Amino acid sequence: MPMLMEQKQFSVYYSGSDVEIVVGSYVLDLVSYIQWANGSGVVPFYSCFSPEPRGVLQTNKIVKGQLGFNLKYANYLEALTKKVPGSKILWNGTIYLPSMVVAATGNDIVPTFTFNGLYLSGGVKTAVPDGNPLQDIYQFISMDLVKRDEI
Amino acid sequence: MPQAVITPSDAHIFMYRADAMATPVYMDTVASITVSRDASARPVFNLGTQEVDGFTFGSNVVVGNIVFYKTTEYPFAKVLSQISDSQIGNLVYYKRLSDIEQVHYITSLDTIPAEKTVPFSIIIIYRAEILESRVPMDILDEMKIVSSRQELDHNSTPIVIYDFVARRLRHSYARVSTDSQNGTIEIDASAIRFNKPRADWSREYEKIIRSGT
Repeated sequence: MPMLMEQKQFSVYYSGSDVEIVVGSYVLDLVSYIQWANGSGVVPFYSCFSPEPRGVLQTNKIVKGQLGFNLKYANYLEALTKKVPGSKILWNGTIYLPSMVVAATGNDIVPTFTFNGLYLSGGVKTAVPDGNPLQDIYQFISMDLVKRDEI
Repeated sequence: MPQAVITPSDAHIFMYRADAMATPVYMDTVASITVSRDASARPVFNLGTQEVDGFTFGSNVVVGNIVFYKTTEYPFAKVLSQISDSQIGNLVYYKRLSDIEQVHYITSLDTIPAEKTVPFSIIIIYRAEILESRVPMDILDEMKIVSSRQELDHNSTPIVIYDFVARRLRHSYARVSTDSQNGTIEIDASAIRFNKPRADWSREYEKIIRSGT
């Protein structure tokens, strides 16, 4: 069937429903929101004699993000540290997780983001009387982010 | 096997809770039922083209309504009466009721609004005569009633309408026994069981909380 073979198939794009977040061997099933940014970049430097940049300098590198939960338990994340090897709660309440994997599933190629050395803090609670679940928002930084397209 | 058109007379509706009832209850006063599955499949466009390049697949929601003829008995009384007093206390939404509502739930079902009932699952079995022992079955897992209304007028039978939201809609098959004259409908427990294979942390954590460790 050469005619059909030549036809471009529809692509599969990912939505929030495809995102699975795993810490240790557990799925974080109450996550309602995640956002992150690679906090590394470059800044231009200039000489006195030209308005054009002479070059760029690399800035410090850090991955920053937010992780939101539909609040169901007060200690959902804290309790996880007792089950995931290498994780702990620091003296100031910051939660340390050795790694967290965020994957967009649902297709044969799975974009996978592995955050290593994760520190979560905050836990901002939001309650509004509109029928939406209470929200519990954590800020996090990660020492390292590895991106892969897995098959 | 030739295909058969399914008529409303072929549809048999049962309600059950797998964790609290031994057998599904036949709902004999259902006038109609509608079920819609709104599965979000949204087109994705890229710059430089006017054509759809693909889709995202988002959340699914199963909604519908179930209509009962208004009778002197609360439509869900038979179902609720199947749940033992010891089991009802374990049902999550039961715990949201006030103390007085909990007493009424067991003793005087008519006084509890349907929106306060615990979620049930609905099984619709389509038993067309032409079909043999294997008959199609729709399963509405964990149907929760979210609103209700009644319609009474001079020209038609009074009805009570319940709008519901369900967790999922599945299609399976039931067996009809050919031994007996009436043909007993047999629902295989494995056909209506649904196991979520993921190791969700909230499940594990809840076990830890409840065990007190």
